[in-house]
Amino acid sequence: MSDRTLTLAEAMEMMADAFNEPLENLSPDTDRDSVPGWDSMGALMLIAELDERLGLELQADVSREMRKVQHVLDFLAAHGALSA
Amino acid sequence: MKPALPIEKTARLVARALGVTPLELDEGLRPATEADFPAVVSLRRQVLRENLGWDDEAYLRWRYQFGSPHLATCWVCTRGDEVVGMIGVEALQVSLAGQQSSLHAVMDLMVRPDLDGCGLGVWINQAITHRLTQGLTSGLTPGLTHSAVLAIGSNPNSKGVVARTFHPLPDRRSHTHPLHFGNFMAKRLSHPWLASLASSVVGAGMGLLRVALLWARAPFIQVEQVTQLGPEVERLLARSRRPDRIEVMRTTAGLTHRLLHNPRSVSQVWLARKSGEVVGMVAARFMRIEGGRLALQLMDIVLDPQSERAALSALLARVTADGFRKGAEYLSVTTYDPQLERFFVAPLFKRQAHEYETMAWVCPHDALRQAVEAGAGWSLFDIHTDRDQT
Repeated sequence: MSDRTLTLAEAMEMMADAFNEPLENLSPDTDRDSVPGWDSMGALMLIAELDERLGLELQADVSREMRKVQHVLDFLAAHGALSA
Repeated sequence: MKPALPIEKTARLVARALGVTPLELDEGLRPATEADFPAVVSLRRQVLRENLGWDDEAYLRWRYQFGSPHLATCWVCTRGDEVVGMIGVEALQVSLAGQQSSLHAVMDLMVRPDLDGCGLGVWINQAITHRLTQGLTSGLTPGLTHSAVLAIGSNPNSKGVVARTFHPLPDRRSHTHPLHFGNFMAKRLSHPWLASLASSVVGAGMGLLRVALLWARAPFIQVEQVTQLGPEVERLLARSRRPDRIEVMRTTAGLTHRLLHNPRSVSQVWLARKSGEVVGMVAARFMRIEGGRLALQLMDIVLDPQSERAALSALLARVTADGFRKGAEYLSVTTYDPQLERFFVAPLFKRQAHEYETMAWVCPHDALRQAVEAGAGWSLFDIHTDRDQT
């Protein structure tokens, strides 16, 4: 569990940064396939962001299963890192 | 665009994911040995799966140090006894105004599928680039100092890695010449008989254009297909070098291996002669495109500057005639030389933008970097990629 949290807006900004995607193009429903920057580099950047900001380890198999932005938010929530 | 992570940070995250230390991760990246061959074959089988439609063992022995001669070095990333990733590295000698520089092209990056997503591919790219640009592989490559590292082309998964690990250069530029119009017309005209008629008419028109713009421009040039490259080609290679262009050096031995011995896809090599002397060479290969159709791809072009237009016209006339006869839908060529591209224009050729004809590099050589920033062309063609599909 993380002792630090992000708001929803901060989480979305984090993903926009990691995937090099304009924030306005991302919503919880956004599919991974529609985000060009959510490739192997984007996945690594997300791993780094989660590590740096929240001290969370995102494992490769979990990362691969994330097909939507919502799945990242679910991961954050499951680790107590998404504030209401 | 946010740059890639520093290599130290990537190494820490990837090592954590693999359950090793960053030092173990680094020490596990090395040139493959013969003992690694079965594991490399297995890795590629896991990654390529149903797309593996060729004899990959023969291909690996042709391309990499598992066979001799070869074109490139296969590096493996290991975790203990396991091979968890690989990358190909091809050494290229380039010359600009007589000044030689060392350059390596990276290709064929693969990561074991169960490790996909942990950043291993990114780290392998960063680590190889770091070692080559810092001259840290000199023990393995005698005489190597600091090398530039080039990434020619990309795919949906590597484009982001390339964009953030390397400095982007202008894209390579592709041009196509249509040979048969059947498929084109069938998509646009609902009646098959009308599509067939239109295809014949337009095809005939394009044939006449080829006669007028290719055949007629090279009356004193003889063209023949060859299966061996000898001293006359060596002389052509020497004459073809231009002081204003970054010359990617070739040898006849290297071209023979690359073009004529590829187990996945042998090229046709055509020579143009004027008064008995070879003044031009093109290599072309047939490839399958969607729907099982055939296309023709120019792999290399070498021209004597004194006979450039005539030689290229003659060669294109013969290559397109052969492609037409064998049912190729189009001829394509991808170049990186503005001077040469003047020939690939309308009405015969159309510029075809491709999302993945990217070029990017890390270059420690000031003179080379400045020349590229000033827009110098390269004698770089598809023989310098690993696109070997049949």
